[in-house]
Amino acid sequence: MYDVIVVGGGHAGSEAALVAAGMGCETLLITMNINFIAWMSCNPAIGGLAKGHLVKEIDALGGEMAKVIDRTGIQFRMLNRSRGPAVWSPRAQADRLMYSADVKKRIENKDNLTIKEGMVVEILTDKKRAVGVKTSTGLIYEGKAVIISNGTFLNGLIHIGLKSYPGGRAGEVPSTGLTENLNKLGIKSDRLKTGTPPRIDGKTVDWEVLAVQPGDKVIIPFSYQTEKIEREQVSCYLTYTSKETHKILLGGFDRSPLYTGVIKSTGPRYCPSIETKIVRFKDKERHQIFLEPEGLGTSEYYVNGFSTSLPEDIQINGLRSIRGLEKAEIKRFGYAIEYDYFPTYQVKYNLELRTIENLFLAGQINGTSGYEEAAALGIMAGINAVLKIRNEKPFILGRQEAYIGVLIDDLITKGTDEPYRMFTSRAEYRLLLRQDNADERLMEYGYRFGLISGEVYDNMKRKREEKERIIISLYDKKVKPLEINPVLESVNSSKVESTVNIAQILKRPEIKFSDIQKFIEQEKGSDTLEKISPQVEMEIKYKGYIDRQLSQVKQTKTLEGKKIPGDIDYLKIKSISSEAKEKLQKVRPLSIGQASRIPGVNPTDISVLLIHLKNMPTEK
Amino acid sequence: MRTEDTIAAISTPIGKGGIGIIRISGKDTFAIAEKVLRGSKGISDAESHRLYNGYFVNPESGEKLDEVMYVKMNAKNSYTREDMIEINTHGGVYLIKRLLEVVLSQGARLAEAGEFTFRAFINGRIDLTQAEAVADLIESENEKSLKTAIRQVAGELKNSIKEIKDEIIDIYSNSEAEIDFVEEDIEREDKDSVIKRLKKTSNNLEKMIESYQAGRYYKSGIKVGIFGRVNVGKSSLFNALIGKDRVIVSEQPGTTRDVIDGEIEHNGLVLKFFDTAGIREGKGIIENEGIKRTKLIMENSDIAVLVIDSDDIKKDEDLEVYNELKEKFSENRNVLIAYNKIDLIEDIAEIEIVISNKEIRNIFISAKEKIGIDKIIDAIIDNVDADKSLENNNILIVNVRHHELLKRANEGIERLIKGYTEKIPNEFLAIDFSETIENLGKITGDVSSDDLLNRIFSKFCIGK
Ligand SMILES: Cc1cc2nc3c(=O)[nH]c(=O)nc-3n(C[C@H](O)[C@H](O)[C@H](O)COP(=O)(O)OP(=O)(O)OC[C@H]3O[C@@H](n4cnc5c(N)ncnc54)[C@H](O)[C@@H]3O)c2cc1C
Ligand SMILES: Nc1nc2c(ncn2[C@@H]2O[C@H](COP(=O)(O)OP(=O)(O)OP(=O)(O)O)[C@@H](O)[C@H]2O)c(=O)[nH]1
Ligand SMILES: [Mg+2]
Repeated sequence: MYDVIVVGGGHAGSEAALVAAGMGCETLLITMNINFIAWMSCNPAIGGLAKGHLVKEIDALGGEMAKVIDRTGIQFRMLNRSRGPAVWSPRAQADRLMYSADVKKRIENKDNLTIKEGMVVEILTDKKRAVGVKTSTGLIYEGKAVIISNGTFLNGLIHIGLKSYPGGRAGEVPSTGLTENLNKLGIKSDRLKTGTPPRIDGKTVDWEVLAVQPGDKVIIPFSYQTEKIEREQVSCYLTYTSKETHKILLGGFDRSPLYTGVIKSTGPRYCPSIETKIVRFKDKERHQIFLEPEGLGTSEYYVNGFSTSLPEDIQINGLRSIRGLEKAEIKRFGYAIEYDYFPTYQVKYNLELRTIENLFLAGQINGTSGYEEAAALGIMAGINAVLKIRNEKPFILGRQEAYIGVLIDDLITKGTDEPYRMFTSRAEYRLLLRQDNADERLMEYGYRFGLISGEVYDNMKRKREEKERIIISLYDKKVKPLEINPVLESVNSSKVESTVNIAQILKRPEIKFSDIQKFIEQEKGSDTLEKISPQVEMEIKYKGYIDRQLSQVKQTKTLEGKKIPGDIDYLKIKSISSEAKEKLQKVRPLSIGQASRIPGVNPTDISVLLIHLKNMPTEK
Repeated sequence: MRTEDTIAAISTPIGKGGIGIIRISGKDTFAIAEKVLRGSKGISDAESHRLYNGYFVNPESGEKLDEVMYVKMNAKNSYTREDMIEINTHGGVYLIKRLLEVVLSQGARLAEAGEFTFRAFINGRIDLTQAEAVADLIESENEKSLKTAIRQVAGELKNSIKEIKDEIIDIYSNSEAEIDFVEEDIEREDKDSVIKRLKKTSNNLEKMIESYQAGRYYKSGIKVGIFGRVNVGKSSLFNALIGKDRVIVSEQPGTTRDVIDGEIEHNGLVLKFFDTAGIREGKGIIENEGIKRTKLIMENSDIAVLVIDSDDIKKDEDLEVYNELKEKFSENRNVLIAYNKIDLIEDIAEIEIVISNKEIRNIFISAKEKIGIDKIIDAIIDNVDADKSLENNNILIVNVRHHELLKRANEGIERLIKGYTEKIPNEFLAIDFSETIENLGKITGDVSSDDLLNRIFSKFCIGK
């Protein structure tokens, strides 16, 4: 008898299994092929806008993703460096094989964690409660809680041109039987689609003519626990499609599964296939194509921007019309895949199914897409499964606390009809949810769950205190005109007449932190200042904006605190609009705050709902 | 809906000439009340749940706007469980709206329909009957008793706001795309072009905001006070204007001692006339009281007609009344001068012109013989620009809530213009973008937050 059984060793399942074991639970991870643990099905890269934020949050909670990419990354870049730190985001190219091997090793070395190969076809239940799983060969494993994270494998159907065949991703068989089993248990499923570009042989590329995109000179690690990364990095390369490319591709549309109606399910808008791009943006004469290395030990390159499910001959002819790829050889063809997922209104905030106790869903099967989103859901499902069997309060993050909170709330409250990807614009409190302060926001939780060591936690606290001290000192530190005016003059900033504090100076748009740095005292040999200066600069310069966001948070908190009883029947409330009724009945919001975020529920509906809530007890 | 700020609204359905209550709730309530109320006791010393007598003043000018009764309610025992004040006014529809605007200008926000109840609920206190009253209120919001013409304009309003909102979302989507899709090959909009677009949008909003005045005229009528020395023929003019012999007319000076009102409709606009007691040095308590009311009407009229007896001009006294009016009316042109009793004059050119000011119109009439009455009406209509505003904009803002939201939206846009000028990074400007869009959305009733991503994906070819 296991405490927690995790089905599927992808990015979600790996994090889930590692935290469950890390919290001291006897954990079993069953996956279809142990060679493909945490395998990157698509792009060999971690991070990027908002995704990078998720990785840092996973790290602060005690997850693995950040540490693994720090060890196996082969190119690192901090995106949006020209803007404020709120929207910086780390991104790295990974060595696909090393990444997977690294996670596999972590799992194998983890105490309390057993890994087995097998395909789960049935969830065993007892009175609407999960009690174990059964594999395709009839083996039964008993567990107190089950987390499923099947990725794109459930009834996966791969398309290239008009050919299609069952597969979980290229080269792997799909998972069959489990969806049907869950349907029988009353869980609804639907289908989504995604796709991937071809991989080409780097030896056949004319590198000379391509623009190079190197990594950052100084690498900023993902993990708060990684001191420093010093490593030789590889480059990516940039080229463009041409009118000729588009013409060739259009010539294959009569055999496109997307445009002949073979594929019916929706794909992600932010990750469109090249065919969608040329149809939807007819006037755009060229599209960017990035060539990204698949790893150090291989000559394979990932053709980013060329996701396609057109037939093979069109893929190769199209590619060869691209500058630098005239002689390219495709090693693996691009394809599209359709798969089952479980619309998320069926789960609770702890990712447990509403109707089957102790059964948790994590990763792509919740309607998301991306390794980071999957891993974020995985760590949350893992922690919550443990809390559930220990009869402890669920672990729910608020929208004001973490991108992870935004992710789960969006999925449950707003739902999604395309694979969901995180964007910073989805987070209304973006200025507070920064990649630089994920540790300050979340590490305390990780520490409480025993996933973050006391030492790491103390370091974070020390760093935070140092930052606060420096900020205060900038407000306290007075400088005379004589001291500061030369600095001001050198950057064309108007001079001051009387003594001012440094913070006042830093608030001027034209003044950078480096201009006033010399006025700050710090302990000898400490490099904290260097690390936190962007944060300090932002917190002083844009205090007004940050304060506004903080007061917005305060305002919404009251609404979140107003709870709605679980047994309310919305269909019986007369004055609510019928659209709102339907949505409320489906989502079953926990609070007035959540209800007001449901699309289709307007403020008038909320007022009526409030009145109804007040009347409810007297109706009974 | 937010619950941390301070809200205000007129909480009684406003009927003709009835008593109206302005309700304020939230943490700044007492501070705001302190500024606008003058009573025997300061707000901080006033006891909770006791009725006080006092004046409502304009904190900017110190001017008394109305005599009011008010009740202070400490959070502990108030309806919303927040600090509250209720101000009972008796100046009728126009005045109460004016008072509400003053309250809003002091930092309160106009309450949404049902919001007091919402707070009462949020803070753990609600009363069933009142809750139901709120439901009624929400319903009546949907069937606004607007005239057909106005209703059409209201439809136009929604479209115009949508257009403005659309433009803001468009600019916002460019700004957000730059953040979230740095790696993509998307066109970046330069700062000057953004500022230009924002300024244009702000201009459009300003026009709408300005139309509120005209819109209010359409919705609630134009108030026209008739003033002048005693016995100049004010009551006669009043009767001639409303086309009925409503008021007693006599050669006895000081006949009219109280304010009398009457209205007519003219091309869909309601004109409300107020006949007042003639002004002369105080004689007796009743008359004093009458003059007090005359002055109140002066405060609250949109247009003043100063009546002068052409046959008996007393320059000094006429000027005295005029000066009083001039003080109350920020725009000179809103004072019309009617030289009455021209039937007694042989040559109009002989009449001594008391006030010569290019902005002020002199109209020669005979109330008794009904000469020139239509000229007065034309001058009134012309003055309030209601027609012009309708022609220019096609939009009239008639609703104080809309007016308030538009003003807030425009403030947001102004902050954005400043932000762009100062090169504040996009991620900060997002706060002003989303606030502006939210305020506009509250007018049209759609507050969908997914608009933005939809826009980005439809505009830019995103996706590596
Ligand atoms: C073709 C393709 C294109 C993609 N394109 C993109 C993209 O462009 N951008 C992007 O962000 N993401 C993309 N993804 C998605 C990305 O790969 C996933 O989001 C991510 O891997 C999901 O992680 P996961 O842990 O949920 O599932 P996966 O990583 O898919 O892992 C699922 C694991 O579960 C195992 N499993 C499944 N069923 C069973 C079972 N019944 N019993 C035991 N084990 C089981 C599988 O063997 C697998 O190891 C793409 C995926 C594919 C396949
Ligand atoms: N000949 C003539 N007499 C007028 C005219 N208008 C008013 N009168 C007379 O002037 C006298 C006063 O008229 P009212 O209308 O009562 O004047 P008033 O300004 O209201 O006076 P008070 O209410 O006493 O201040 C009456 O005898 C009217 O008949 C006019 O146009 N021509
Ligand atoms: Mg009279």
